Amino acid sequence: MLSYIVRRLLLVIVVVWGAATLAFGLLYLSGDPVNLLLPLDASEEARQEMRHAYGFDQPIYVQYARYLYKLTHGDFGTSLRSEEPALGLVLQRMGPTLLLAGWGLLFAVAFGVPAGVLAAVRKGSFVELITMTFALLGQSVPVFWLGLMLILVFGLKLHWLPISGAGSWKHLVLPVITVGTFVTASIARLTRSGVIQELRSDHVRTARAKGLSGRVVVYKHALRNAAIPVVTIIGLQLGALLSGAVITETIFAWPGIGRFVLIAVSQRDFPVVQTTVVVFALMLAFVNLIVDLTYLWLDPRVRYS
Amino acid sequence: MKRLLRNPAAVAGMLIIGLLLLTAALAPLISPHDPTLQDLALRLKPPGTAGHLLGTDRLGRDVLSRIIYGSRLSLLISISSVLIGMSIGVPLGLVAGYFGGKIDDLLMRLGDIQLSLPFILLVIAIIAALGPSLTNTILTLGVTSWVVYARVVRGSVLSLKELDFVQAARALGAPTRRILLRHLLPNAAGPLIVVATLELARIIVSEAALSFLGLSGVPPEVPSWGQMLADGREVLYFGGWWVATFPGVAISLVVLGINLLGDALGEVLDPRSR
Repeated sequence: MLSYIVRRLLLVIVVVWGAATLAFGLLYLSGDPVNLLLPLDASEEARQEMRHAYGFDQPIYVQYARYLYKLTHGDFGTSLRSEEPALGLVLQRMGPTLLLAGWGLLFAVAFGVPAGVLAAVRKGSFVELITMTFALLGQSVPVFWLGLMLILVFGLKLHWLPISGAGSWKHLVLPVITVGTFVTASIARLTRSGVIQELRSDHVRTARAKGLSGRVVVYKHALRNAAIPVVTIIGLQLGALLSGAVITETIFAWPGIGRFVLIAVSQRDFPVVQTTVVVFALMLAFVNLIVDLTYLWLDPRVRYS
Repeated sequence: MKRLLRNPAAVAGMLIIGLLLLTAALAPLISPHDPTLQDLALRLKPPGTAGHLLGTDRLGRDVLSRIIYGSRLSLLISISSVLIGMSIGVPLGLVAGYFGGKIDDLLMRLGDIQLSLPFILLVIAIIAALGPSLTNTILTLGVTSWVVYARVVRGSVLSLKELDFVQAARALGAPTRRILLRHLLPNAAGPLIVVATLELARIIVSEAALSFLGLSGVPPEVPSWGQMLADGREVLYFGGWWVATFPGVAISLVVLGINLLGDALGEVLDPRSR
């Protein structure tokens, strides 16, 4: 068990190192960084000076080693625009994004799991047809369009909810639905197939044969085992959830990392973009670790060695 | 194929995709107006205005014609990206699955690293570095999708390579290349087709998202569904609801069609579901 966790932590490090290397490589794909920093008509001396000051005149492996060394010491560089440490800027904007993604996930689990169970238990019924049609639609509608349509209907036509900014719980409603819909649909569909598979299994048949009521069979026997694929899918959907959050933020003017990174991209503020990439990789790697450890708790048959 | 035709979801999916292909192929014939023609006298006319079934945008361009022509761009980008992704992912998956060992570990860890980043963030970062252009959008969407193909092919190869017919081919001295391409690849085709189908939908949505964020590098005069949504967003607040609504319906419909067909293909090609 302990050795498993240690090995998984090592994998987290490998993944984050990979993401950091990718982020480093991207900067070099973008051409001479000095051109980004200085006005086009800057003199050659000014350029040389800048190269020297930032260490761009060193061989690439020296720059790479220096970059990694700094990262391990928590130094993610300085924003080219605001000249503040990039890490602080990124972490500051991470809060609202995690709030949005967290509520989106809660929304998705709260609606997706019951819908999936209902569809599985009532297989072949009208209820299944309705829930699964909605799930299929939910998976097909692009996030950004859903956001615009919600703004149109609930904001501009009905005037029920604010359409941009943050502040009260009302500001959260439309963005959370926007972020959560795709994941709700995925969770509903996977919960359904998981529960259907479990209801066919031997131990459920045995429980039925013992004369247990349908409700006990579904909730105590089938659902617990069906929870394993559902937890996996939640882990896998976190990337989609955060991708969705990036787009949703731009639509609703939500003050999170998605909007921030897009502004950084348009200003070619590479340290900020790099830091965002590394921080996201670190976060998702840890979440996946937690998801894997959740299995241990859910399924006593799983023994990591 | 017969099983597919008996599945109503698959038929619906194929009809939608067929409609998309026809629309793209016949765009000049069926489109009522030139999609790039601006008419400032007819700015932001609502649907139903004479000659403009779905209305006009803020430059007076016909929304329906732009949707019809936009299908071409979506198809161009999604099909080329899927082909690029497959041409990288399939060979890597074959090699990883067949040889196993270090090369397999290396490739799969690379995949893990890539999948540890939210897709849209990765694409935004790459496009920011390369600079937005249509070619870079296609390349980025294509290259970053190698992992799914590699994983699917690797999975199939792992289960196939111990089977008798592969062992027999090897015992007869068939060169590795031949085993990979003639024996393993055709038998891995089923799941690969399913994944490629679903990837088409994902790429169409990703391209639209990039256009929406202003990062796809598609020139503004070229009709693109994502670009139309971005334009429509600006006029949404001034009553121009139709400009963003209809291209979104087009995207959703196409994605729905592909998902329906992909799911049905998955069921038909998966022997366990029979």
